[in-house]
Amino acid sequence: MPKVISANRLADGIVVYAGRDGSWFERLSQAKIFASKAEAEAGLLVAQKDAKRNLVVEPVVVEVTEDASGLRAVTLREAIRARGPTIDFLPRTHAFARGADPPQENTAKQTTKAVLRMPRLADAREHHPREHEIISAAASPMEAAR
Amino acid sequence: MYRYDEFDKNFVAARVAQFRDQVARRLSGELDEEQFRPLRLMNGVYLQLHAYMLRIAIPYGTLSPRQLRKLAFIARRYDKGYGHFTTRQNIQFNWPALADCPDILNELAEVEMHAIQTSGNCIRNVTADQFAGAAADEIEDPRPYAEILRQWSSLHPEYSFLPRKFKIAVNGAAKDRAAIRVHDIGYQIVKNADGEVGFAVYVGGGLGRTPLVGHKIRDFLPKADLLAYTNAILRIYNLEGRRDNKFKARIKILVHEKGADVIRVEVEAEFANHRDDALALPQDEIDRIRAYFAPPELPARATTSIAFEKRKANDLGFARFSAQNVVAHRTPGYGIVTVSLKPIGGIPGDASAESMETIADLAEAFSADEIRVAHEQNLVLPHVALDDLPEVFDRLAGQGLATANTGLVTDIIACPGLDYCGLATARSIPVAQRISDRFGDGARAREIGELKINISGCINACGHHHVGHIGILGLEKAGSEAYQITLGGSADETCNVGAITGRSFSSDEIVGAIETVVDTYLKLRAGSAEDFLAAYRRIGMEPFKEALYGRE
Repeated sequence: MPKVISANRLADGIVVYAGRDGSWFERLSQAKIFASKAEAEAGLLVAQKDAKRNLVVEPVVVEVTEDASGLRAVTLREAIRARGPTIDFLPRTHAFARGADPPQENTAKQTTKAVLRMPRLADAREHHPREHEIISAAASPMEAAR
Repeated sequence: MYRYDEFDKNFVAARVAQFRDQVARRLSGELDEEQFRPLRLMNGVYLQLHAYMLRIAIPYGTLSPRQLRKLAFIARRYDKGYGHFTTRQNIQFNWPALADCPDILNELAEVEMHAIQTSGNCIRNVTADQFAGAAADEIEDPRPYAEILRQWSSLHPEYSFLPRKFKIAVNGAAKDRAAIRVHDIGYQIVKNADGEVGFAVYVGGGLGRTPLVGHKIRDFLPKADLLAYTNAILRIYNLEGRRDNKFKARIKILVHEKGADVIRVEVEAEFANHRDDALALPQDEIDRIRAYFAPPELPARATTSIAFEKRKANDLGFARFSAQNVVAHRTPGYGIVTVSLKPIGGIPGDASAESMETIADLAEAFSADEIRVAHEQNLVLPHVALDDLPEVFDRLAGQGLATANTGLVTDIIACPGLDYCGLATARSIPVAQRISDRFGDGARAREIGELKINISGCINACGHHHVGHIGILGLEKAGSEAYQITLGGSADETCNVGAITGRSFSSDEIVGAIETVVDTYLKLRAGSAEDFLAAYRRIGMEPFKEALYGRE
């Protein structure tokens, strides 16, 4: 089964994947794929150097499958790490309000002062309900693995 | 409420400066993760699935509007616009950057808050009844004693590295709203035959993988001995508690293995040996702390509020809210209002920055500047005049905060589960949402009546599933989520650990299974006055098993 290397970024804890060029990316789709266990273990050794260099914490090997729509993590836990919570977690107070203006674009994007040491790509874990549904739908990575 | 003195202020400020330095050293590489992990945990910073999580202590669940507004500010400025209130009356932020945590702690220090001892094997946030100082059935406000315990236990050198974490709860009314019997120590305020107020002492309760109900080891402890007795219990635990096995390290295991009678003898001996030490609480010190919690000066009101009665007669929604979410205050003409953080289909315990600000405004205008966090993951406005209730209701409703479901089937306790938590084995929140959607807040939920459903996403039981009338435990079975049901648990003074129904249910099956349990109750109850727990206690597990599994 193909594998990728994942970790959490030290400065902000965000889930990242080891990419082909040696940097870390927020999207699973940009992860470097390791075909065998031996290759993944070699990749993990490299990742552990980045942990020593204080770029990331707790790098691990993650099993994935690849199909027409791209890479998917095999376990539910890793699928959730890859896509973010499966729930509609961003607040939409306005949606509840009686007679209030229509829901506005959520402005809750993290405006961290953290000095990030890696390029900050579009956050794959932003609010995409449809993507979340995929996790719970029958064609989810977890189901596929059964 | 308690206000920091110079000592507290300097202590918290020093701790923020210390952590700022530790974070800088971690980011620069001077500290590695192994060295840094215990330091960040001592400041409430966990690493979860997607990001860091910061758990902030809310001592005994009491907040001022200024503090709640600060939490709203932090949610917006450093997080994604919301926070999650927990079953230990704390708040967690799910997305803070590590590099921002020192600034967040600095913001918190400005409003006399911190994240100290919200993790680690130390004495955690001391919790109390969310209706403390307001409830009509209260013997005495438990918060001064929780505050005394907090001060004594903060950075206590002897108890900073216990075998395992240690949780204390104090309850002030006959009705246990603080779940004291599932705490390491539960203090129940009681009055003895001489009319003296003190504590009944429970020890060795806890949930997690080995749920056990605490044992009463003392009927009456004088107030002056609160610290000496707590110290005696902790000494015995610190010496004898197991350090060889994390899963057997809580005091409940020690009490269970040695027996409550043996522990009682040991604690009493330790207590007798050290009773005259510096730990005896002087009455003037008790009075000094109690003064911080002096009841607010509530203007006298008529017992019957015309505005309240009139609105109730004309507005069914308001009448239902009043019946479900408002309980008697000890001052005539006032009520205690629970603000449900369980909108139908919503995420239990989550509150947006806007919601927090709305509630802070209401507390300032209508609740003597006080807000409480309930361990059921709701907020409380403890001192609302019935005359003001229509306006409070309207303003809550305007923000989607007037769900009239306190204590009903949709008032579900749920841990963050696998959507956030690194320990979880299954998701909790989506199950809570689906159950909530299934039952809704209409006639069906009212017909069912009082029913507590608690959901945990793993065996560690943060969602208190063992003590839910219906408990749901999420597990992983062959790569899929599976949910085990327990029935008959309760966290109050009739504390009981629920019994497992049988085989677990898949994610697709679980909501239907809960519905089967509820329908079985409705069918078999002896009238609508018999709530779920009473019916279960009368008829037992069999009818529910039969309904769930048939002839399987």
